Amino acid sequence: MQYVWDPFVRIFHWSLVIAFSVAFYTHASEWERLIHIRAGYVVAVLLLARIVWGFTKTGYACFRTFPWDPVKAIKHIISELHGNAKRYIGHNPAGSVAIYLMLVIGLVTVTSGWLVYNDGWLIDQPELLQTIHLYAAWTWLVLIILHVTGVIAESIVHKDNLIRAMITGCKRVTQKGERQATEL
Amino acid sequence: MTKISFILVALLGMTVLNAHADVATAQKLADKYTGIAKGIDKGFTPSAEDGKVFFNRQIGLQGHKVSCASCHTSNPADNGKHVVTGKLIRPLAPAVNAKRFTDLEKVEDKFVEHCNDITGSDCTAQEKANFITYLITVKDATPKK
Repeated sequence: MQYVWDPFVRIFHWSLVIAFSVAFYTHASEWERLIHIRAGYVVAVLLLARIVWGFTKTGYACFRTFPWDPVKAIKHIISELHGNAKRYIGHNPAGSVAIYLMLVIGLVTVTSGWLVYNDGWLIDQPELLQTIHLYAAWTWLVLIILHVTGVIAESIVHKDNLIRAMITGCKRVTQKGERQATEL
Repeated sequence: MTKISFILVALLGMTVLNAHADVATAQKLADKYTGIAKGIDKGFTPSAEDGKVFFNRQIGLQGHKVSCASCHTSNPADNGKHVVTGKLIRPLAPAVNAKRFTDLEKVEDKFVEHCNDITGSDCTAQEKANFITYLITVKDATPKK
């Protein structure tokens, strides 16, 4: 087995899954408003911590090892559909794009939510802020669905369990003759 | 200079018209719900009095005993205060807050969420018609002492 995801990345990932789910589940009820708000703060802290980690860490968690490249991402998805995509040990190009979009949309969601909650602060546009918060949250959900779909597709094409890899931190070792990306 | 003043007057006129238009929009929504209610009960006419009773009625649900007024105060033209978070809520009466009851979709969303929060089920068209009819009649915030 090859060690890929450090403990911070794994704890971050599953904490974010839980915090997002809690926030999503409690979004409509005024009785659960404080739970929703606290889940939102947890999300904000997690996202900021991940961004700091991405700039300071080396290895697969580092932003430099998975660049933003939408063209490459689309090419990767096409070859994935043909079943002949190159194997990436860290994030593949499509996963990278999904992760950057989720980080940005996540920050938009928590910031707009924070401003909606503290109505009257900074920007006196409650309707606009509510609309931004709503659309950002649903866009995020769409991104999550795409992300999970990609994870499942990648797991099938490369005969590896990527969900388990995010729990244990390890992926299977690339076999001889298998096409692996030369990037880190 | 005259051009600018014309534009300013036009803008001012638009805001004045808008302020009227917003109570009118609330009335349109009340009429819409009344129309639905009439389909269920032919003799239905919206009642501000019933709307007021509904607004202030305390309902026990999951250990909470609350009414619309718990957050919005007994005067819907006043600022409210969220009973859970303590945050300020802008006035509900369209005469005071022109942004209320302008968009059917938003109003329906809020009815679905709040009715489930407070009464534990959806509100009827009759209740919604009465509710908006009452809110339209509230014109003034409580004078400050």
